Amino acid sequence: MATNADITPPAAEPIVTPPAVVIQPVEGGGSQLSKTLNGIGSFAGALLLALIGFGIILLLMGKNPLEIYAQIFEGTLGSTYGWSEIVVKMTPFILCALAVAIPARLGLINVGGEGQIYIGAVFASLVALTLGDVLPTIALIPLLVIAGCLGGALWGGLAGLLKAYAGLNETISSLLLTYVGSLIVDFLASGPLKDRSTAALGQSYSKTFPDNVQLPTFFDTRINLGIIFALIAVGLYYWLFKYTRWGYKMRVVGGNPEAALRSGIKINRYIIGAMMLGGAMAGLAGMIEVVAIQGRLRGGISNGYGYVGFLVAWLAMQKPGRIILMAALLGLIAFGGDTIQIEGNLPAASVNILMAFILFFVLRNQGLRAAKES
Amino acid sequence: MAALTNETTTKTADPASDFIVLEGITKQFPGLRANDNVSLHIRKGKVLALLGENGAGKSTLMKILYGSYRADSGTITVDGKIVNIQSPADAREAGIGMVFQSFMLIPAFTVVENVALSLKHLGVVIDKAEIEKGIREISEKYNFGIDPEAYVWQLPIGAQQKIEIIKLLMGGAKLLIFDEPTSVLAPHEAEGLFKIFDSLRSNGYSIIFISHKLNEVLSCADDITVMRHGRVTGHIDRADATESILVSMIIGTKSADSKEYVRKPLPTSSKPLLEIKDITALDDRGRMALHGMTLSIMPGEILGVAGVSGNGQKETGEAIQGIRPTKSGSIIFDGHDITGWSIARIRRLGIACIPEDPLKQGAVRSMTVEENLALGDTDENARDWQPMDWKAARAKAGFITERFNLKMPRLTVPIEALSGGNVQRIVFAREMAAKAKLLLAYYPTRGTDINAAEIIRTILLNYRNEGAAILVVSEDLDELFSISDRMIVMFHGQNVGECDPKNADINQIGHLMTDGKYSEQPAHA
Repeated sequence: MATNADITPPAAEPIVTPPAVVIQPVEGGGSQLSKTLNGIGSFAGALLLALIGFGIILLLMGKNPLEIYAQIFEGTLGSTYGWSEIVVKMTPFILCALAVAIPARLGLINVGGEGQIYIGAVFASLVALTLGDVLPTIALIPLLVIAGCLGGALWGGLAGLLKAYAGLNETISSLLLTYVGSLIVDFLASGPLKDRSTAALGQSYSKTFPDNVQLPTFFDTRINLGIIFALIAVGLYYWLFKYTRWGYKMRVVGGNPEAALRSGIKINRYIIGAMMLGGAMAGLAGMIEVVAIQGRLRGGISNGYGYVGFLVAWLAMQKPGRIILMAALLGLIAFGGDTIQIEGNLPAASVNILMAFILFFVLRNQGLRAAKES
Repeated sequence: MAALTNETTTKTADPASDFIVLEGITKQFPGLRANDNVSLHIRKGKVLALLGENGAGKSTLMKILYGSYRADSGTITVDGKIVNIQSPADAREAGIGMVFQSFMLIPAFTVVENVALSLKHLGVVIDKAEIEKGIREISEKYNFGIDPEAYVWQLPIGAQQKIEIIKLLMGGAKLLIFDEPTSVLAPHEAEGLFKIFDSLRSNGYSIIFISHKLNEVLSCADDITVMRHGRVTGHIDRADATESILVSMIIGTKSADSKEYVRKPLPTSSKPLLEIKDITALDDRGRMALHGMTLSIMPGEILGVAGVSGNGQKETGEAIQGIRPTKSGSIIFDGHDITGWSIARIRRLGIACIPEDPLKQGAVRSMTVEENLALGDTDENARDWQPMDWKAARAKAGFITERFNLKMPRLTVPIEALSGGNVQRIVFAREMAAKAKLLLAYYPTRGTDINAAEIIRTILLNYRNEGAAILVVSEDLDELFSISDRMIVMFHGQNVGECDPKNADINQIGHLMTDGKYSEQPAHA
């Protein structure tokens, strides 16, 4: 015990409780309500500026902007058909926005939604063409969902894998994989899966899917089960990031990768996981497109949904509720493009300018706010 | 002239040859006086070495001289005229140039292009031939051997440093400040740098050389100024300086009033809690950082690790936590060979860490207090799809408030809204609340004021008295002496000596820290 006596000092003072320290936030910040109102106000302002900007373009094209806007409004919100078509367009927009939003929470930029749609569509088509005659619709739907998700997850996961283990930038690899995906569809549609019947002579698409392969539609419109899938996916997205450990860890990785690593989170696992899950969302959109809308596999099915989804995700700042709202807004604009093509004799693509203006002004607002805060 | 009341000899240099004089420089940061009435004389054509531990205030002083910071008070005189240096541009105008530790070069550009970028009056059309001529002249004069057409990425670090010197000389600098220039160099490159110092000196240039390597300072300096705790503690001519004198100037004396803490006797268990045997590991740049590091910690013991930072302390902690792979050797913790285990598994086994930079390495700015408290949760039974155990995080907050008397803000406040010091406190408290068997504490009191530092030490001691082992890495020797049960010194990635802080010779520790060797007398056991 002699050694212990050396170490123990004279018992002078008892174990001390440190004096109190109060941790206070540096700034109060406004109330939640005023923040929300500010947000809505600034978005409305951005929208107005975008409409003015697009209006100037329309004037230059020799059109009356007010007339065109009236046509868009009437063609979309003025009829039941218009409303239903907005919902139909919303479906892939929402899913593709999730394909961007999920990886974005980890700081990953997935611009490959387009390619993931294609591969999801391929997987779904394979199920449709092989099992469509054998199984009833009710059994096919889950299989189609799984196939679509799997295809997209494969394509997204590939970019994630390259990022995690080869350090390849996911923005570039997912973008390049898009071309590969779309070419795979072209190859299948004009090769192995090509419809060889005489009616399809010279066409590059697969046989029409058997009748059993379909998603139930509602209200006698083209609105189909897909929108339900999309809304469920948004709900899952919310739940995942708000409540699960998985979501929490992914947000830590997104917020500070170094702290994540040091606290024992296996970053690579979550990078791949997030890219797969994002890809699965886009793949699901691809499945819905070939099964509910096209009824067969063909090239060019995606129509740029992957890119619009990107706009939606960034306009919504990855927030679940806003994703639905923004998808509806861009759905309206996209369908409005079809309307003014017919009635206003303008190329449908001209509304892309409007979309670009909206993104531009919204991002400008976000940038200004960030500058003000810092 | 209050500065002259400071401890050791203050030698007034011959004013005739003074080129730049700093007088009464004071700089206050929140909670920290980085420079306290500091004066410095830089002579024409001489090398002034600025010595001191990290945090002694050398870098702050140099940033003030170079215009990156502004002093709260004090004057800077160049050639007898008081100058107002508000920005690096002003400093360059006054003939003051600085070579930073990380070079300001663009690797994809050639030497000429890099030098051109740094020149003040650059026309729209760059007269490359003119610049190239200038580079060649300097390169020949000082024997740099720099090819102006070479791309920077092709050149070794030593050559890149020479480009920085060329930039300064072509920019008209008369005083060149080198911030720990040898830390990036191989030994033979350092030799080369000192030869360059020689020829610069003989051409009338003045040099400030910041370092904490004594042998380098002794081999190249004319004047030596030592700083500690924000003040100049002494000034000495090279001719009068010996290693021992410098060590005592840098480290000071063991303070007599070093606080005695209540210590429970160590358990008599003979088995170490952690045993590191002969590990080797690379640093972030792929150079060998640990050359056979060995240490052991008993349960309930505070092991203080002294050493100049950058001698493998960081890598040792990362190896223990499984963050940094080891090349050889073994790490035994609590009866398990944890070499090669995953970070999460090691954490679960009972190792927590207060990282060197809590804001960068231990907190997520965009998340709330509660979410940050949950970081590093070690529940091994939870699956990823299961909900987070927020109750546990909240319980941690309660524990922290109760034990450390730290009143938490609302748990839903994002930590971006808190001050850096408070985030640091939260990370500190969270790691303590993990109730690990071993706590690694990196510079636990760095950047805090005296009172806060005292609170932190008391908490660490309390934690130890409950039976946890703590490895404290610090550069504050007084702190290590007062809280450690046992101390080791790290130098060049090795444990070079061990002592009992009760009867350790501070000079011997100083020699171990700066040299890796004991001085003349043999070591105390």
